[in-house]
Amino acid sequence: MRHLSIDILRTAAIFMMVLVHFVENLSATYDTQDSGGHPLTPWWLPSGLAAPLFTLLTGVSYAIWLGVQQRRGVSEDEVNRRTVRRGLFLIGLGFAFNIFVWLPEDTFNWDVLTLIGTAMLAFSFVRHLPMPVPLLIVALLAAFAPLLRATTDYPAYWQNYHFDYDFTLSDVLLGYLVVGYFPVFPWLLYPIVGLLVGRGVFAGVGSQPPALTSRGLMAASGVLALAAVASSLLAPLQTETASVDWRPPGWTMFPASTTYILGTVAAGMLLLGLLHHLVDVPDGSDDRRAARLQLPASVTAFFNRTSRHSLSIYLLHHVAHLWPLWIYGVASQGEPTAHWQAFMPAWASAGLGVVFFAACVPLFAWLDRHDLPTAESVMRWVCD
Amino acid sequence: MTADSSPDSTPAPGIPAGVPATSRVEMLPTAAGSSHALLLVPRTGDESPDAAEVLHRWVAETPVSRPRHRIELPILLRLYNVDLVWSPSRSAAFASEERCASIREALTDFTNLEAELTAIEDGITAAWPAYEADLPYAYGFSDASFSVRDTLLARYGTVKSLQGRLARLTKQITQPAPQPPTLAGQIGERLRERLRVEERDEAADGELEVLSDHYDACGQRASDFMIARRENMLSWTIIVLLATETLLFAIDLLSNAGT
Repeated sequence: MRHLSIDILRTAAIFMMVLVHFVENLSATYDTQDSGGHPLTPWWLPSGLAAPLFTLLTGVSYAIWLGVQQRRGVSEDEVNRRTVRRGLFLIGLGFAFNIFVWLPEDTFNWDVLTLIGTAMLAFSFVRHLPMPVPLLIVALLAAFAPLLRATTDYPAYWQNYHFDYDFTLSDVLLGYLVVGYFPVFPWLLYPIVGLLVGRGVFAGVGSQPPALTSRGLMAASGVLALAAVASSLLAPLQTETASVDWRPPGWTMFPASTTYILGTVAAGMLLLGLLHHLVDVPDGSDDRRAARLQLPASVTAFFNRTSRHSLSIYLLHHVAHLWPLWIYGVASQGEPTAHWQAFMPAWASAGLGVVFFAACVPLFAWLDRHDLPTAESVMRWVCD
Repeated sequence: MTADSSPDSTPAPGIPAGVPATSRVEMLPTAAGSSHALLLVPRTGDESPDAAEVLHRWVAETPVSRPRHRIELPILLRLYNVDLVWSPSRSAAFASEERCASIREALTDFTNLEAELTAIEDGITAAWPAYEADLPYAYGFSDASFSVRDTLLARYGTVKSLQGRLARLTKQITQPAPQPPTLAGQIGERLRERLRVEERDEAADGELEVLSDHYDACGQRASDFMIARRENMLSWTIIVLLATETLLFAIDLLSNAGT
């Protein structure tokens, strides 16, 4: 069963990702190339929610998928096998993506796909653990991340807002665990929180009511938001990388600061709780019309399709804007990354991102109609 | 309520026509909180021959059946010059005035006993569908069954309570009749016999044993599961902490190797 709340949020997450990547890869230093500054302004802040939301929803969707497998009577062994195969597939896809899209020198940049793959592998055992243990893991991931960044000298790996590593075992492993784009510490906590939320809110067993209501989820998000504010107020005491002026104190995505983690988890849970309350069919009702807020069928279909093809859109939008950029860079200056982050004004790249996203709608409708393979269908074919 | 009437007056409300006006209806309190109407008709010697039939009809006006045991109600007893008609909600006796107290005592005791036994039997009957549904939990408990733990606990409590009530009732049922025999003792004994109280008690005991064994097993499984779960949680907590420590150590090593 699909949940419209998740479809809407995943659509929002992938839309923000498309926008962020178009703008940051094509325009981030366009206006300030000489000074090396970062031109983005406070209106760009919500874009920091894209990756946390995407990874959080991975856990929520996995919990729902797990419930479906259990209701269908799929054996535990088979569920484990499918989970591990999906994890390995996503890690493999992540490496292929890094090599073909980010070019071979960024093979081990530890992007979001390898994180989601790792999360899948982790799910295969985390799902068996009693509730307090995953919470402990989440707490450890959040608590140790700043300490480990201090131990590993995080700023040394980051030059001009991107992860710069050597092809050595230590750098590769440290990138995976602590200093990459989306390292295990702390980014793995998002999918695990998603799994716990999904289990509590969406995966009620049979006629049993869910353990957590949407109101409960929103209340929990309120507590986390307060914690985020407290963490932000305490930011001056922290010795980590300071955030740029236009962000709240202590709010940094790279590295993911405690304020950022608390704030994004709170925002994700709040949005999920709110949308679940408004657009999902209340629990125990078989009537599709019982949702509090009815959206037109065409809008629901749009969210549904975009959500189902979010992995394909994630892969495709990189190809769509980076390959032309690399080709143009080689053609004009003999260096693929010559125009990276400095190719056009932000308004133009944002417009291109919107156009790309709009073009995805008919494209994936056409692919669905002709039953043509997408990243999702290939993953299911390989893993299930 | 007691309805006394003078011999010449018309029968008081609640007293059937065709019985002497000196008859009276008494309400016997029962343990279940309901009441049992007893019509006492004093024997005068000039009563009509169909007086017993009138009593039978009056008692049968409030039909109560015991279909489970194929017992036809009301029950008619004749002993020691007493005509007695009994049903769970009403009874009537045709007896001399001096025997009324014994009859009242016997019927109060028996009606209470029978009502309690019936309530226990009803409880057992209601427990069987749940028993069928709960069979898997007597074999094993899992995370999926965690949510029914409170329900199982409530059912366990219900069965144990029924068992306790039956044990107390059995004591009453099996106590020997008073010696030398009394009218009250004899009425009680005959009614127990006619309503198959001892057989019903034995059957209820057998059924409750099955139910009790089942919910004992469920309780054991649930308890084992909770203990294992707690141990499991503790083990995993230790494993996670050790794994984190190892990871921290490895990261520290890697970090030093890098420099």
